[in-house]
Amino acid sequence: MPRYFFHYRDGDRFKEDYEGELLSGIAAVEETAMASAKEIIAEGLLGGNPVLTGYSYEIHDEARNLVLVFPFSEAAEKPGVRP
Amino acid sequence: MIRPHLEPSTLQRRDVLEEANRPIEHAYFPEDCLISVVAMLRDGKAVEVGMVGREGMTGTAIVLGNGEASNECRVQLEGSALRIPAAGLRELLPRSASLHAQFLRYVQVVLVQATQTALVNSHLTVEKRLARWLLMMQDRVGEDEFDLTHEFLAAMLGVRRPGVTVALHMLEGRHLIRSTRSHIGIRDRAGLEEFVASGYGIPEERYRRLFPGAGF
Repeated sequence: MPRYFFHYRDGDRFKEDYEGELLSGIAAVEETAMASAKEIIAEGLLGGNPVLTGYSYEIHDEARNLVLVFPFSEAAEKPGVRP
Repeated sequence: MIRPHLEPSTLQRRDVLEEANRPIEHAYFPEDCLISVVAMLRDGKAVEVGMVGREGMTGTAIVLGNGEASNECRVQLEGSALRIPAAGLRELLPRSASLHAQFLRYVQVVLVQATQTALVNSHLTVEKRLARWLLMMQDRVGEDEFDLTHEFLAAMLGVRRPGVTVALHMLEGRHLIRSTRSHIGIRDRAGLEEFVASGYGIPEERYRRLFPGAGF
């Protein structure tokens, strides 16, 4: 299985995911991003914060190609599997 | 009284010392390693319910009499430990009421740790749980830098792995930790304690009360 890196962008700030994660393909990448973003948004809401819609995952493959940009707003608006 | 029965052992990361519902073979007393107690659902979902370092022991089910593990004990940071076979420990207990009482006091700390973990898992954010976890780890190994993978931390905290990157980034933004490739360092311990606030410290306080001479 290929390894995908979920870098995190928060406005101008960027946090590199050095470790990555083995996933079967783009569908699994999207599912993981969706579930993780839902988890983070839900927690933020329960903590009294507004929805963190300005954040996103920028997901690269091992060759450093950008395979998906996943804005957290998508997790707030669209259905997905339960985290 | 237990000393002559202890043998040295070297533990590697990911070694499994106890499996849930299986008889325990040895009780371990970590010297500089760290062991995680992990509870698991039947479908494999897991979350950490306790950690054991130089202040404690595994094999508490032997002390309680039944000798079958309730959870999994897994080595998190490799290092050395002393160990005693379950049968040896079982023989010693009735011969020394004070030894037995001491182990039972430790079992109480383990229970406090598990109940506090349940509380923080429902009341604290991932970022705060991660901060608490780093504090507890420092208490139990005495270091302030750890080699930890995000995959491992995600399993310990019960979240998706990419969320660990986010939580580390937030703690870094508060200047409380440093995180690089699989390496996490504590920058400001007092700041971490202040950040976690009431979510940290109750098992540690209990331990100090029950073992005032342990230097913990």
